[in-house]
Amino acid sequence: MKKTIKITALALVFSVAAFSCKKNVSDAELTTQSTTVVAAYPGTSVEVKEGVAHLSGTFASQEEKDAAIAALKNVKGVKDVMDMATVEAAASVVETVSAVAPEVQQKVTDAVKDFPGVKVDVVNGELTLTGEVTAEQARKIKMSVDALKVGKVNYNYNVKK
Amino acid sequence: MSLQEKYSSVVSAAQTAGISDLKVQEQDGILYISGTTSSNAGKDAVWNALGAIDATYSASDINIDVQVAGLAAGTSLTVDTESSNLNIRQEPSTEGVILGKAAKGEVVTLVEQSSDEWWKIKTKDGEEGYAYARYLRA
Repeated sequence: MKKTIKITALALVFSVAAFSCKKNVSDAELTTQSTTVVAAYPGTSVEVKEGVAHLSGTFASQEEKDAAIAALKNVKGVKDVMDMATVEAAASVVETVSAVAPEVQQKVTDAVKDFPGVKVDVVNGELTLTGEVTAEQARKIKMSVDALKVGKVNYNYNVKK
Repeated sequence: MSLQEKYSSVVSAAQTAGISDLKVQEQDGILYISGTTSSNAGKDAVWNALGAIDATYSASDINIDVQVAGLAAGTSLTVDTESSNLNIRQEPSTEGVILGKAAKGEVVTLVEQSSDEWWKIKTKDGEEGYAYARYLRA
């Protein structure tokens, strides 16, 4: 009977020791280790709170983010990873159309039709507007022409104040 | 100074106006600002911000494509021409046959936003056709 108590007590001591041992890897220490892991990904950071790694910042791609999360889960002592990071939006390209395409020419004609003082030419592939307009008309023309996205447009007209 | 800095007031105006799907990107020396709004007020706010920097609206290094979009059929629109009547055409082009006209200040009804440039509208007299969207205010 006495022996059993002894063993139970011993087991208890061991379990407490094991528990405190796990606790010994402090959040600060885990944060340091985790930070080393994500150092490869600029713009990101990690902080360990109660054993959970809180990952934040912006990753260049989803693959990099997944890799970082996997690596953090491998850090001994990190129980889980809280993913608060984002992935950078893929840089999209503004699609422009040719200023000389017939359908674009028609749209440009439509845009300046009400302003007979304006002349439209394509010079070196760039839409070039000349003539005389008021600022209010110039605003309306730019509104319509910008929407066409023909690349660089030279607004070379005289704008009457 | 980068274009983003040069036109930061235009970008912030777009953000303040709550422009949807706002995209700001620099490409080939041009700052492209695009997005959509449900009213002309939002579009005007962005263009006013440009006017504050470029009073003649002649800048070649900025492209603003903010369109009034997502309007429901039946939305009331006000004709906003300079002085003349707004042509209502059979086709969405200035080549299209003129079916009727709407006077400046007249209220017409949206049938559909066929494209950024041309919207199909209906007048109170029942004339239906395409009008140049720049002269319609939501």
